[in-house]
Amino acid sequence: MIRGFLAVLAVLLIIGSLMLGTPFVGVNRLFAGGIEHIVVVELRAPRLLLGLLAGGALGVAGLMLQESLRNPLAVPELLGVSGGAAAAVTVCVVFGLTVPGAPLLPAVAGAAVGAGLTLLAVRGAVGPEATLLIGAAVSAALQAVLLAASALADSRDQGVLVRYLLGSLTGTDWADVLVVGIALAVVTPLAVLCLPSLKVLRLGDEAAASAGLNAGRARVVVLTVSCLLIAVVVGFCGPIAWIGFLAPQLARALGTASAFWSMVFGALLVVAADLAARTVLYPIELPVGGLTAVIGVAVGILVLSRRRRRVPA
Amino acid sequence: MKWLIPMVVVTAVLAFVQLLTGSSMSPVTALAALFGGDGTERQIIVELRAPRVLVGLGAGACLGVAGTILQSTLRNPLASPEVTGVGSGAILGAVVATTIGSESPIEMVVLALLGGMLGGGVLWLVASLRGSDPLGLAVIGVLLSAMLAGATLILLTARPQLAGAMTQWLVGSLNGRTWEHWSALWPFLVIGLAGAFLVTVVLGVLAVDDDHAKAVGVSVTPWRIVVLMLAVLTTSVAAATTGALVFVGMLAPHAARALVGSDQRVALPLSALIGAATVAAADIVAQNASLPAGAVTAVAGAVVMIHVAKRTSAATVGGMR
Amino acid sequence: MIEAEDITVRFGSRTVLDEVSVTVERGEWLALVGRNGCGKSTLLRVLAGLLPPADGVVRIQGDPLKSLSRREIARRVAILSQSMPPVGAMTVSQLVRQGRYAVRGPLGMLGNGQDAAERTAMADTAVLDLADAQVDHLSGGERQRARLALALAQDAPVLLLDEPTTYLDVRHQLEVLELVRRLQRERGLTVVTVLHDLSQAARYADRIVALRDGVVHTQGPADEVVDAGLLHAVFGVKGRVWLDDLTGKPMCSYDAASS
Repeated sequence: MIRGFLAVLAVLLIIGSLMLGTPFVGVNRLFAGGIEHIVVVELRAPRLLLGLLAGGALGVAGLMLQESLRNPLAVPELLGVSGGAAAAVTVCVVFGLTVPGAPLLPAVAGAAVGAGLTLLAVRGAVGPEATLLIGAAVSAALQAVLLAASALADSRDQGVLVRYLLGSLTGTDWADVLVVGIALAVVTPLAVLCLPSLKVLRLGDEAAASAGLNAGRARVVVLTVSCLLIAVVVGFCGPIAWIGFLAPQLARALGTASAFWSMVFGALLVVAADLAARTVLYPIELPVGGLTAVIGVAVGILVLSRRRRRVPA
Repeated sequence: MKWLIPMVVVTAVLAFVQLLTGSSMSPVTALAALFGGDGTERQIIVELRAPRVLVGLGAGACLGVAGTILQSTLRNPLASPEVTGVGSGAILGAVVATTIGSESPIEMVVLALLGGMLGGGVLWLVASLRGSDPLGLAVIGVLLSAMLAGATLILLTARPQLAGAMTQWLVGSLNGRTWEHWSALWPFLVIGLAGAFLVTVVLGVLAVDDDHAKAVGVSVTPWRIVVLMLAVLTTSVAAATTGALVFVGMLAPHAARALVGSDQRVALPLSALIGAATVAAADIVAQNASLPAGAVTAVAGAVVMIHVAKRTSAATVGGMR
Repeated sequence: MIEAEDITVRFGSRTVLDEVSVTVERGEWLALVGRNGCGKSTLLRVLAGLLPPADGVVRIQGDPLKSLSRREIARRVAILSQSMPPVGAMTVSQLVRQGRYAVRGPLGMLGNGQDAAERTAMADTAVLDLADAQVDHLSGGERQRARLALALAQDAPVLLLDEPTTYLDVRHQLEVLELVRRLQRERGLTVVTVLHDLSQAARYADRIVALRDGVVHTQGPADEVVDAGLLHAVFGVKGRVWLDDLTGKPMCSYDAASS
């Protein structure tokens, strides 16, 4: 039932993404020739594909973070990972630095630095809330670096700023899709390899130890792989805020906390949000990350308020 | 008392250095220009530099007051405009004001006030629904702030002609502040400072416990609304005139309490002074590196916040055992 | 002085107090006794106006609590509640000063200077030496005395004490109870205490109210109501009660939990 519904929704979203916009392209003309064909194939199709890839990757990465840290709010935005990657890429872009492998390598390096800073800062803190607050503080500082860099460079390119603050799919071409596709093709097998240990980590460190797993090491591996996934996405689309939180939440709400469903929901959410971002205030295009941030955080607050009330005082 | 006077001196010195920064004037010329004379020097000092310095000091003092109120009333050492949704709500309000084309700082302050009340109201609602352990509430506040910041960014991109001011709103900066900003700021600063000072005793009582407050004769809910409104007011006016000077409101009260303890009659004015001095210092650094001042306070404040979060977590978890 | 009529308090579906009526005369010392969870602390909180009852009315000096402002209540009733969270960097004298809020008001408190009531309260509880110490750094006993000083500083004619002797060693327990008795006699204070130690309650209080499962089980002067039957019915223990030679008041010893 749910699967059928999701399949229909997915098809609708995909066709809608290809059709809507200027010019409007009717279903019957999607594969016809002419200028409309060019718009669909050269502009909308790569954008759609990148959205699917990015959403899927963020969904999986979010799930990995949350399960391995056993904290439903362990999201890239609150751990300095997105912030670090975005700040690094922004610095490269606004200063026009030519870095080999840009934006991929700077994003990976930035994510590593951000995550490292958070880990360093978190040492000695007790409990999930403190960890999140510290991560949020690190993220805020990294965001300040991002904004400062763009102010320093006196960047007139606000598109770059918006993209790396919240995420956006504007101006995607096939080259982007190709690079992201290849990068994800490399990282995804690693993620799949992590899944068994993730299942054990979820049960707690003691259970992991009795299952013969070194919890600390396994966690580092899982975190590294999820940072890679996030960095790839952030390098090209920005953080697409809170997808890494929303997708696993939805998957869990439907009773399946599996990586597969988290990936599916991530992909669908990004495409749906991007469609909304392009159309609700047409012809103005909103940053897709703004929408996902507003929706994602509203869900987060609900989750937190519910979680607490269940615990008797 | 012993820390207030030195802090006034420190703030004054920092403000003077800030006045000189970027004007390539000798201190003597600047002083002369400040107190009279005419010509370009006077023009630069009085029309360009002075409002910048004053708006910065005023906004910093506002944030120091707001932070003190929030931390004592919510009994949360992590509370500050940034982690309660009040600050981001106020920014959202101010950006709404610019989006609908209002030019006057006063309208901006009013809308910022509404936004701040929205943010604070939502947090209040959540707190009353789920109870308020400090860390949990702070996390919700951070999320709320992220949401309001997302909405702000949507607005800023929806009106591309405003996007140039994005940095201004998101991290806060003193660039281009004029006397108009100051005249929108000072009445609220006076109301906020004076009001907060008059109720410092209530702040001290509320900081202990609701039952304790009732027992000594403080009507908790009405008073809490009054003092929180003062916090929203001061936060909003700072947000509307300088953007989000991130973490000043968290830093200043901590520094003040570390210096003089919990007597709010001294800690509150001291926190206002430290807030002002922090903004002045941050702006000096920021101008020399042509950064927005808010970026400097954000990085400095993040360090303090990390420290406090650790201590609070240790205390909370330790207390539960 | 205090009249509580048909007080009913419910926490969710649980009825904690069921139509309890208690009257305390001016200058009288009343002790509330009973098992854990029998509702005695709840009753004390109702009398102090900290907890609005679901039903019933509390009158202090003839006026219903509901008709009085918080400050007015605090001028008439001071309460030492069971516990207080950590207070940060606050010193003892700052804490005690907060007791003056009801009398001096938010603006009156802005001025410096200790008033007479504050000083007397601190002297009576022997915390003058601790005036500048931080409350959170005190030992359990010192902290309890500082909090008692806070309640006394309110200078209210009614003093409610919820287990004032917890955290105190025997000597300090005695000192606190003797102090309260002296104040009761000298200033005509009306005192209501929740006490765990039945012998102490019997020795100091003029009258005892024993609560059981949210209703008043027995009430009356100690030498009339404290007996082995009360121990069994209210506390669920087998024990012996005899009259102390010196004070003439009942003393209890507890031998076994009754079946």
